[in-house]
Amino acid sequence: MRRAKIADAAPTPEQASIERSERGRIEGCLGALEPDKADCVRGAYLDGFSYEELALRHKVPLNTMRTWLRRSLIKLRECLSA
Amino acid sequence: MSRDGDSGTSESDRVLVAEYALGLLDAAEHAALARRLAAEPGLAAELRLWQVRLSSLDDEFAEAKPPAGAWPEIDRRLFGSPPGLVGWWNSLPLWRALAATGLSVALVAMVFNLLQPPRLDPRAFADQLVATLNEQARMSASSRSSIRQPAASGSPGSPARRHRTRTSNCGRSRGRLPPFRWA
Repeated sequence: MRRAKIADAAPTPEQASIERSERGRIEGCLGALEPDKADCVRGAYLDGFSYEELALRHKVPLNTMRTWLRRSLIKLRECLSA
Repeated sequence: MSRDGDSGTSESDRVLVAEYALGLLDAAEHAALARRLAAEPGLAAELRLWQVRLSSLDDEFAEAKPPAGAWPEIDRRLFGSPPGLVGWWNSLPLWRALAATGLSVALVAMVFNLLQPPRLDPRAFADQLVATLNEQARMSASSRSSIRQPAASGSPGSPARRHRTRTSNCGRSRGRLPPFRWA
C-alpha cells in the first residue's frame, strides 16, 4: 500500500533544468580541494582508477587513500549542495 | 552518523553513493548498493546529483577513434584464442571471398546449364520418335473414319463426301511409310 505512494525518482523537468544549470559547479568545488585530492577524484571518475591504483599512484597506503578520498567526497558533496 | 535535514540520507550513505558514482566500489558492494538504490528514492536522488555534477567532467574527454587493433586485442584478452588458428579461420575477407567465389561459380554453372540446348541421345531420340509416330499413325488410321469424317463435312452421311475422303486417303497412302507423312 505504501509503495504506491513513493514518488518517481526521475527528475521533473524543473529539477532537470536546475541540475543542468548547476553542472559547472563541480569544477569550482574540485578547485576548493587540495590539488592531489582533486586529482584522485578525477582519476577515479575519468580514468576509472580503483582505490588500489590511486594509492599506488600517489604512493600512500591503501587505507590512507580511502580516508583521503572519502573526506574529499564529503567536502565535495557539501560544496555541491551549498 | 550525521543526518542531513533535506534528504534524510546519512553521511556514510552519501559517501557510498559518491563512491558508486565514481566507480570505486568492488563488485559485491556495487551490487548491494544497486539494490538499495532501486528501493530508496532518497539514495537514487543522491546518485543523480553526483551523476549530473560529475557529468560536466565528461567534457574533458575529446572523442577519439580507437586504434584499429583494439577490438581484436579485446577479443583476445577476453576469450583468448589459439594463435595459429586466428590467422585465417577468423579472417572475414577470406570467408567473404570464398562465399563470393562459391556463389559466382554456382550462378555461372546454373546459367550455363540453362542456356545449353537440351542434349539428345540420337539413338534414344530416334526410338522415341519412331514410337511416337507409329502411335500417331496407328491412332489416326483407326480413328480417321470416326474423327475426320464428321469434321470434314457438314453432312457426314452423304455418300459423295465419304467417297471423296476415301479417294484422298488412297492418294496419300502411296508412300512407303504412309503414316509418317501425317505427322
